[in-house]
Amino acid sequence: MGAGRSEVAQAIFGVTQKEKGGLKLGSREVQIKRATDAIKEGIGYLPENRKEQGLFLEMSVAENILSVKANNDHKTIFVDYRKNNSITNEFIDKLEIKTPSGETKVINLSGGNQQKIVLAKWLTVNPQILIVDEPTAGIDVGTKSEIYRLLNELTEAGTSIILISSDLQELLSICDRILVFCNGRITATLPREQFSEEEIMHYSAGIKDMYK
Amino acid sequence: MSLNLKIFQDRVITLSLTIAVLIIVSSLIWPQQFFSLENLSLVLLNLSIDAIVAVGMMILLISGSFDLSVGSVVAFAGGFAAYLMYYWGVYMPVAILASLGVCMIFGFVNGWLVARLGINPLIQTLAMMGIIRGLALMVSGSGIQNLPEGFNQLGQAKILSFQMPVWYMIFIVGIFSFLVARTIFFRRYYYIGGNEKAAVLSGIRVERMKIFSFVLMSFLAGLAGIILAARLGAAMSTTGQGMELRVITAVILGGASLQGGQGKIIGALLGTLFMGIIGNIMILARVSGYWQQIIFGIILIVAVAIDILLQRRADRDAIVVLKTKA
Repeated sequence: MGAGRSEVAQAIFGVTQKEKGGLKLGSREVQIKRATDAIKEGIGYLPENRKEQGLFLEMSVAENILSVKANNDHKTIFVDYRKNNSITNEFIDKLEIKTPSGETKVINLSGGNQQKIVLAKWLTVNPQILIVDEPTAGIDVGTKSEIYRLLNELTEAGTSIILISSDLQELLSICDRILVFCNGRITATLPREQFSEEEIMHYSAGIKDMYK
Repeated sequence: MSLNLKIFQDRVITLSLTIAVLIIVSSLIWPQQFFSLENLSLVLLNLSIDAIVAVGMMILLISGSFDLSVGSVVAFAGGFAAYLMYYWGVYMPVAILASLGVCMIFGFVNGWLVARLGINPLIQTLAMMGIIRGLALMVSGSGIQNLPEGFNQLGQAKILSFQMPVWYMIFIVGIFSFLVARTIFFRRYYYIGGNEKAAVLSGIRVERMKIFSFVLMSFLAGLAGIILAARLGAAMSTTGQGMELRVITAVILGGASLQGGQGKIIGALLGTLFMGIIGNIMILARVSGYWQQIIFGIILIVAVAIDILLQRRADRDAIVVLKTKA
C-alpha cells in the first residue's frame, strides 16, 4: 500500500501521465498516452477498486461485459445487439457468472460475480498483457480460487499477467517472478527460486542489508 | 408483482400512458376546442422549439451533465443570423451557418472548460448563460424585424397543416433517437454517465466525448433559435428566458436522472409533449399563468419521488430473486 504499485500500473496503462521514462513492449518502444492506446497495444488493466473504477453498477451485466470491446472497436458504427448477446452469454458461461440474465443490473450481484464481470470485460479483447490490481480483495474463498483458475488458464493461453497484490501467500503461490516495490521504486526482482516471505518483507520495508 | 412494477419503471411507458389519459380526458371535456387538428398543430408548434433543445439536453443528462446557457444561445442564434441578414445583407444560408458556427464555439468553450479544466457544469454554463445573453442583447437590441421572406418561410411554411418547426422537431427527434439507441458513439454517453472513472479505464475518450456533447447542445439550441426567429419573423433578445429550467424539467420527466446514465431521446419529446399538453389544458380551463409554474413544479417532484420509490422496490425484488436462485 502506498508503495506506488497502482500508480506505475496506471502510468503503463496511460491513465496517469508519467513524468519521465518510456515503455517497451518486447523490443518495441510504444507510446501510450491514454487507455485507448494501451488497449490497442493489447494491454488490459483491472483496477483495484472495482466498484469505483471497474464497473458501471447501474448498467446491465451485458453492457459491462461489452464496455471495453464495443468502445474500442473503432471500425464499427452501429451496435450489433445479436452479436453482443452471444458474446455476453459466452462469457457468463465461461466464467460461471451467477446472474439471472444478461439484463440484470450489476449492482444486484455479489462481489465475486462483480469481479468476474470486470475480468470478463477484459477477456473480450484478448489482451496480451493483463494488469490485475488486487483482484481477490474482499472476495469469498470459493470465488478466489475460481479467479486463480481463470488467471492460470489465461497464462496458459499466452497472456502475460502482472498481478498487484498485498497478499503474500497469493503472490508466493501463483507468481513466476515477484517485483517488490517500496516508496515508488522497485527494490527487488525475485525469481521463483528465491521466493520467501522474509525476503519480500525485507525489500518491501526498504531496509537494505538487514541480514547480510 | 415484480413484473408489473418493471413496466412502470420505464418512464417512456408511464409517460405515454399519462399523455394518452390526458388526451382522452381533455377530448371528452372540450371536444371542440381540444380535440381538433388546429389545436394539436398549435400545441406541437409551441413545444417544437423546446423539444429540439430537449434532445441535446437529454444527451447531456445521459452523460451526467447539463447546460443552463441554452436559452441564451436560442436568443443569440436568432439575433445574430438576423443581424447579419438585416444590417450586413448577408445571404441567408451563409448567415444561418455563421450563426450556428458561433453557437458551436460557445458549446466548445463550455465543453472544454468543463471537461479539460474541470469547472462544474452548473457554474460554467451559468456564467455562459449571462455572457451569451449579453451578446444577444448586443446583436439584436430591442429586436430585429423585416427579415427576408425566404427566411420567414423556413419557420412559417406549412406542410400537411403543420408548420415547419413541427417537422424539424420530428426529424431531429427521429434522427437522434436512432443515433443514441443504435450507434456505439452515442452509447458511450451512457457509460460516461454511469461511471466516468470506469469509462476512462475502459478506453473511452471521455474528455473528447464531453466536449462534443456540449458542442452538439449549442448547435441544437442555435438551430432552435434560428427556427424560432423564422417562425416569429423577428429576432428578440428576450427569447428563451427560463427555457433552460423548462427543458431540464421536461427531460427529467422524460426519464433522465441528474446522476446520469439514464434516459432515451424519445423521453425528451414525451416530457416536452406532456408539459405542452398540461399547458394547453390549463389555458382551456382558464387557469391563471401563475398556476402553471406551480403545477409544473409539483409534477416534477411527484414524478421523481415515484421514481425513487419504484427503484427501491425493484432493487429489493432483484435481491430476493438472486437469493432464491443461489
